Amino acid sequence: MDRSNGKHSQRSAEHSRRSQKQAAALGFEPVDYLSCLYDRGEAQVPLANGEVIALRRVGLGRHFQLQALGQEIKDVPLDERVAVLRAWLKAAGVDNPGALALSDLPAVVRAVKAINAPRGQLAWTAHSSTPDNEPEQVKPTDYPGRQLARIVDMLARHYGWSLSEIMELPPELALAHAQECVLADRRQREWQHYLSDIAWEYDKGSHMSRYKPLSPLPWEMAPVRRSYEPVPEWVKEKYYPKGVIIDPAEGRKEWEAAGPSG
Amino acid sequence: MSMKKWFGQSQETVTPEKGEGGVPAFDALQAALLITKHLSTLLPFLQALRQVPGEMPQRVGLLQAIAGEIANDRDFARDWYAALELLAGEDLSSRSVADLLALSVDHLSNGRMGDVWGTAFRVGLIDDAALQHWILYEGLTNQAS
Repeated sequence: MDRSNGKHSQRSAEHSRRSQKQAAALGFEPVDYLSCLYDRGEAQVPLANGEVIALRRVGLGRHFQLQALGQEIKDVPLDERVAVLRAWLKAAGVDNPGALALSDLPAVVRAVKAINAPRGQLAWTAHSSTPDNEPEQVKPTDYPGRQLARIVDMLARHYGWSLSEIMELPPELALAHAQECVLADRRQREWQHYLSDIAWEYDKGSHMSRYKPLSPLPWEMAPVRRSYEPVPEWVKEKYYPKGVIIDPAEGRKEWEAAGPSG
Repeated sequence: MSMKKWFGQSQETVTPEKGEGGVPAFDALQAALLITKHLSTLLPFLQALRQVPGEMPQRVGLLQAIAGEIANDRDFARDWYAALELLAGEDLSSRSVADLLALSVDHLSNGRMGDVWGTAFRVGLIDDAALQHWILYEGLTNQAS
């Protein structure tokens, strides 16, 4: 066996183990920044006429457009869906969807979905979605696509990137940077809060001022561990080990296992 | 095309046109979705048509029954005509009602529409409920072949 290949597979196994552990701790599959940065996601779909369509994972702007059109296909009346599908394929980078044969369509749609599938989540996106049973509150300042506009605004302000540069970023990368922007703004605000009078409360008992920190962002707090956390089982005392236990690190040593009472 | 033409009782000789082979994929899909809107109404008639051989006089009666069904619903008439034009790839306004009905039955029974519905489902254009109609329709075309 090739040694370098073996090492590589060992490393990727280690990486996947670490990712699984992290996902278990967080409660969601986190975005892998490096993978999103260097593996853009491409697919080649052979067509019935012998040609090949090359598809590439779309950037942030098109990603939002694809999501919106994908939802629209389900929402609009039956006779308007084909037009939306055509627009969806165009947004995904299929130059002339009208030229596709009927038999090619499922493979092309599948490939577009596969290369544009979400690649993990981030804390602020994983925790900010409204639960299904809760009606979404619409503010007067809301408008279609505002979520994208806010991300563009954050990235442009923090990094000075242009609109076209931001729109071409891989979606998860853009969202990861936007999360960093939110956190940086937050640290700044906490520092300003720390320096202001309203952050300090005078305690008459101890004659000292006590700091009242800002309440943390809900998604910034320690994750709520869900079903990933194994449920600890209480072990009956009679099943505890008794007798001599050999500890190989320190040599022979006698251990009397104490029960739960100590 | 005038509604009168649709709902008239013309009994011209039927010369069905063959296949959707040359129909662009999106036109075929659009036609399938237009028909899907009314497939539950049409299925009993299509089922009955399968059981009546081409030359029997009952067939004319069934076609008239479909025409009557269409006459009751303007939405149905509009969608049905639009679907037929897409499948035929030409202006059908000069055709008689009997022609149009025969043409539509031919389009629906040549097997390719089943593929179109299957594709519509696979690409997410129709849901499970519409698929049930499609499966039923496929059953009909299988019986016919």
